[in-house]
Amino acid sequence: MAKTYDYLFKLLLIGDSGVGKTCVLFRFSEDAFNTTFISTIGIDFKIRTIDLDGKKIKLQIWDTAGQERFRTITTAYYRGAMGIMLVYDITNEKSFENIKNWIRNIEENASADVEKMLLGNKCELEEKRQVSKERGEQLAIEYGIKFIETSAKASIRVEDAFFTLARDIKAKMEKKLKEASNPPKGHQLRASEPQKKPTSWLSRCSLL
Amino acid sequence: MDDIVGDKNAKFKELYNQDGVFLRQAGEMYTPMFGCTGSLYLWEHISDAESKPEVPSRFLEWRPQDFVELKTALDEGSEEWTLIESVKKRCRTSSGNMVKDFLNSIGNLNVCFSNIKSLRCSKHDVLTTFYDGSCELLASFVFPTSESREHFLGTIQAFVRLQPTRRDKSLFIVYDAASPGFKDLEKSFAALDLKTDSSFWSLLKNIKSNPYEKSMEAFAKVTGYVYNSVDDEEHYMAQDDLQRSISEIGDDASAYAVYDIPNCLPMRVDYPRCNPLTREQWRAQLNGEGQLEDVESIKTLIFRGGISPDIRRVVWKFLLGYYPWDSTEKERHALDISKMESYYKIKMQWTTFSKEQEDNFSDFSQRKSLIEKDVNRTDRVLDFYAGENNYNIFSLNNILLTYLLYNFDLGYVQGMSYLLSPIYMLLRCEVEAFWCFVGFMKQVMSNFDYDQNAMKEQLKSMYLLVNFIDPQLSKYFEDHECANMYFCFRWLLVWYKRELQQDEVARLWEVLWTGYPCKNFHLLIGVAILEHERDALMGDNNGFTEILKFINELTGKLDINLMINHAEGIYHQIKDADHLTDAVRNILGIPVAEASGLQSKPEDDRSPRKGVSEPDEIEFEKSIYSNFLSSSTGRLVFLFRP
Repeated sequence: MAKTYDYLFKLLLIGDSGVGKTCVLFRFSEDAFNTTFISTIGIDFKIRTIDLDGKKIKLQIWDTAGQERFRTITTAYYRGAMGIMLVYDITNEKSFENIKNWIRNIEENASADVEKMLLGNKCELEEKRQVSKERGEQLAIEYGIKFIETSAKASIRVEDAFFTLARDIKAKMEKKLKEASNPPKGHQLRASEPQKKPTSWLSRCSLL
Repeated sequence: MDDIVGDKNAKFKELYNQDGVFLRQAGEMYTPMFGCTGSLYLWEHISDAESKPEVPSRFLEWRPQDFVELKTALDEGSEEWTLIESVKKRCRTSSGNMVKDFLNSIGNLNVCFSNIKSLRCSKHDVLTTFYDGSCELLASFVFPTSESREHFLGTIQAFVRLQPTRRDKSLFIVYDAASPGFKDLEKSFAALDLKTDSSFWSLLKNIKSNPYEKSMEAFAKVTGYVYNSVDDEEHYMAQDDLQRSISEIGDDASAYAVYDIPNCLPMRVDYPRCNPLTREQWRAQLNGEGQLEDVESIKTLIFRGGISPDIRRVVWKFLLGYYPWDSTEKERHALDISKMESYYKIKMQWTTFSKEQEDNFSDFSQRKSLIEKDVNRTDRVLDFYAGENNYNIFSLNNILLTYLLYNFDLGYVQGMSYLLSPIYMLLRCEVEAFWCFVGFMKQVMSNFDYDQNAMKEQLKSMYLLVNFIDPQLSKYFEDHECANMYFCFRWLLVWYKRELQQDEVARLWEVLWTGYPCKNFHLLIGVAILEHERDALMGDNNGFTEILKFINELTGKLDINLMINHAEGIYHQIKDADHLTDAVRNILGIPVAEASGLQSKPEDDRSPRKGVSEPDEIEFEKSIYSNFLSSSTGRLVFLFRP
């Protein structure tokens, strides 16, 4: 079968329950919003193939149950992820405070070099805002990650968010591939060399 | 069978033929052929005007290897039966010539089918032994593959019914549809002076064709009567002797070691679903005090067919522990009042929180906001829960908040709103729905435990069950990094709620709430689904991602009645499997004593008809009442009450 994409990126959406992870994903994959959304139980994913600098990139985006109770199950999916969207709800202070817990979760379970991005969702609900944009930016700087405010409902910057994350992954991947083909003098990583855990997502990246 | 051989006018149709069938044992005169491989045929006599009445309608024939010409000749119908006398084929043994001479002298092995009164399918699933009415061994064959034997058994089931015996599930009593036993059955019904309308005869037909062993005791009297007249006593008298004779020959496993046959499951038996419990059936079970007379029979009916929607509201309250099964009308009335009081007492605890109190009680306020989020996305596509400011959503919220206070240690966990939604939608009363939800949560509480160990344990159990039923599929999961079975997580957490329509959920849950036929039956539902979809799951070299996607997209596509039906068949296969492991037994709570096979022979094989002499009466009797109840109207059922 002819390949339909150049790269396959596996992304993960995490964040507290009810921040709108599924809605963000639905907006991105189907360009739609539905007020009768259902809570995610367990795990699900959606796919969208995008064009980026002449490359076809298939994004496989995993959506997880937000409640902490299910983390023992959902963290199993962290390992293969190349990019993670950390989502909070700008009308819910607690969901913002919990971002640091989610970051810790990533550190414990995901690849060390996973690309991360912070998403403040529901930005159309300005009158209910509890978390200022500045605080979001500040937190992102603290963790050295990118930040964007989105609205799945009003379709604001959702597209941007995923394209940005995908572009960063692609850049990082291409850089590493280049390094791998022109290794710095004095150090050559052998294929058989035991790898440190968690392994890099590069080893899982499908180059087709 | 000399009379057949000699009948020059008979013509026969071939119903079955299989090469490579090994003759293990038969009557003494066939001793030289033991150990030979040959072809097994099942012939049916095509009657015509000239046929002699003594020609049997069907018979089994086994011929030593290579009888192709004869077969062809018979197929064409151009030759007469006398051909069988011209046996001159080799036999693959070292004593070939001797066998050839022998065959020339005695002919092939023929068994008149109507003489077969029981048959035994060995634990390795390919040795099959036929016995006559006095338990004499007629012939014992080893089929080349389990498929070939299944094909054989399938063929004969077109005209006989095979009833497994109670003590030895590998032994089957053979009932010929035209046998006097069945005629007696019909006579006994006539004696009951029932109306012989069509529903009665369809009921009778069901009794013949749909036996089901797990049933009720209530109709013992009438069914005992029916049973006794059905009982072909000779068979049952013979059974104990049979048990003994089989135990003498049956353990000779060394003879088969060369075959190295993998563990095989017993054949899948179909347990058809029945009609739901009706209001009439329910009412007829209530005595003057409003107390249920026979709880087990009611549960059996629910397990077999679910509950009619018009009576569901009442029955769910029993199934979910709102009313005790043995309560009287008066007691229930008192319970209604006390449960209402205690519900409002708990509810008042949170309704009276002040704003400050709530702010200072973050464990509560966080859970409260989670509940609010969840109820607002629970079944909103149903009219009942649709629209802004829906009162029913408000009630779900109230019930879950009250439950939060009732069981604060557990808290609120996602998924609970889905367990409550069908209950509230049916009962439409906060108090009743709350207490029924409490009853349901008691059964599934561990699904929501903080450590999620119970969920992991269930996923592991699911894998073990798949491995037992379909090792190829479990191997596939293992090879494709799916052995954790995480794709079944949603099924198990909320009991398939998210995969089914509301009425299907109601049907599945009420069946599962009966606790029949075993512990963890909900896992077997999942196994049935996986098995049903096995080809799709294993197609295209699917990995975890594809499998998860496929499973998640099964929503709305499952035929739940069919899956319950399959799950029940799987349960019986597991229960009756000779290689049943302790791990699997524990998952389903199958007691060791219930396990079938050679290990569970009665201790004293020598005491005839003592302690072991209740052949299959109980089993058969149960199957009869179960079918009475399930396939008839309430009126007819209760006409039979003792």
